[in-house]
Amino acid sequence: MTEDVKFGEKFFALFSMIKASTRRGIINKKFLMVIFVVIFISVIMGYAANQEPRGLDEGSDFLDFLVISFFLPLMTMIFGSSIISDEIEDKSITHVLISPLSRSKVYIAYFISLILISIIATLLIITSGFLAYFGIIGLNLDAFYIYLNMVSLVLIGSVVYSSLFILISLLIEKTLYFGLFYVFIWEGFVGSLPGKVKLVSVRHYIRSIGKELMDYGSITRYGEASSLLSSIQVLSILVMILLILGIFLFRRKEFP
Amino acid sequence: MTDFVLEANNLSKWYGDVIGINSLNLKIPEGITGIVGPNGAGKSTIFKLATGMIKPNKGEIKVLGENPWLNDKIIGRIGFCPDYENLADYSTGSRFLHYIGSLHGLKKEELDESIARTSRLVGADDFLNRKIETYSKGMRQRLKLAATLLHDPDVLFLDEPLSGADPQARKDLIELIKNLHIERKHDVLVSSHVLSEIERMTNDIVLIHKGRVIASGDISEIRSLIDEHPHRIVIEGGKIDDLAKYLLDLKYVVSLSFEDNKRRLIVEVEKADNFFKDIPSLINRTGADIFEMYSKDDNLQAVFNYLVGGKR
Repeated sequence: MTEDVKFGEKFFALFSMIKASTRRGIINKKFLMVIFVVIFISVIMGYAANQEPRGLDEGSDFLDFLVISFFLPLMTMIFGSSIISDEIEDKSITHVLISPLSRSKVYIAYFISLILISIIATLLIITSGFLAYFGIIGLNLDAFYIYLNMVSLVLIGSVVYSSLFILISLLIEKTLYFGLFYVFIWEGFVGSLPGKVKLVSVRHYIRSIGKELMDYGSITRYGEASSLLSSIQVLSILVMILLILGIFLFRRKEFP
Repeated sequence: MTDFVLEANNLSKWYGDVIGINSLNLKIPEGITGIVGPNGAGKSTIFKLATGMIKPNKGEIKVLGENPWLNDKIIGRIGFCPDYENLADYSTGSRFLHYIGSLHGLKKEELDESIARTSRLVGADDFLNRKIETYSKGMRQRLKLAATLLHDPDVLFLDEPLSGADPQARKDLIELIKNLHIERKHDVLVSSHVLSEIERMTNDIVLIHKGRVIASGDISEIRSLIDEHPHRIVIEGGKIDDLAKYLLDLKYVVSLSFEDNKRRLIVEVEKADNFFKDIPSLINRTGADIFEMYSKDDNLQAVFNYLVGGKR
């Protein structure tokens, strides 16, 4: 057996694991919550579209506040808290641990699965909110650009929050409580504080990137934004550090 | 290359205050070896250490000559059937096996062929398309075994594979496990707390108790260890009261008791050989009508109980 074939086999195995883990995350009772959020956000944004003032700026603000700042970290936290622990609990993790995949690859596979689940959940939410609002005030090219830019922020945010919450799930048993604290207090409160304090929140850098991408909404006037380059650098370094730390912990973890 | 499938040297593993394995020394040769011990003896801990799911606190363990901890090369050569349920109930048996096979890098054609072969081997081919949640315990065990065999591993670790299966399924699984070595050349390490089941699979056994090996080797060698312990011999028949009186006078008889309205006599003796030499003449002398006589200790359970000094 050549090394190339072995590499191919491992890649195939990794792909299978990601597929199974993502499928399991989506075909899950927890995913029902996404449906409720979709209904909630459709109602809220549909209602907002019938109130004054209404326009592209307001629509952008709603999506920014509800999805990027709130539901994106919340959904990633909820799915991230269980992606590994559910498999530990029902012992199905044994299958991957006794496969020829290294622990590092298994961790990366869980990480990619979480990103995919988070993206699917958040895309459903943002798309329903977008359609509910802009479907009423009018779908046009500008609205479509708002949607595409928001989706870009969802993709970036999903990667960053996934690297964070999957690590937290290894460190803390009651991940959900920590996650709620993080989403509401850290990201919600600290991320809104004036001055340099907000630099320690992920939200700040996502909004900073959003400022460069967006043409509508208060995000375009985000006064204390970091530059696009430094925001991407900070988030990239953060993801790398969190991943390295996560892999280190996962490799040391025992599964009795 | 090592001659041993598994080696443990001064191996210890504890979970908080609870000791799982205590300074265990073990050498498992090729072939089928049975690990026997009561629940909590440390059998599953050995398997978890051997599959790299946990790491030792002290000492070392080697599988096929290498440390299994974080060693995916060795892990890929192991087939592990755990004692717990970890099947995807929402899935069909076939889909589950496809997933397990793909984790081992088996591509579609190879995987289909492997699933057909292993499911036929374990007798799971009839129910593969059903949802796992509808399976009986025996079917689940067969499916777990099929999943263990898919990637054609060099060594099989089977932790309580007969647990919960009905008598017919147990019989079939015992034959299957024997054939896995005879026909498929797998080295098998199989555990059970039911000693007679292990005895039907192999003569090579390791007895463990409280995380320590208390005996290992061929069952006949282990059985010889009990010679220094009292045997219990059951004599069934009529007119055995007089025989009991004579037996009481013999120095090597430790105790006597009657059961079943004096139709069964249980004799505890120190020297079984002497007893079996003397008994024919005693029966002749007393006129006892004996229709069955057997040693209650002539099974693995008794060997185990003797060695651990437990209750017989």
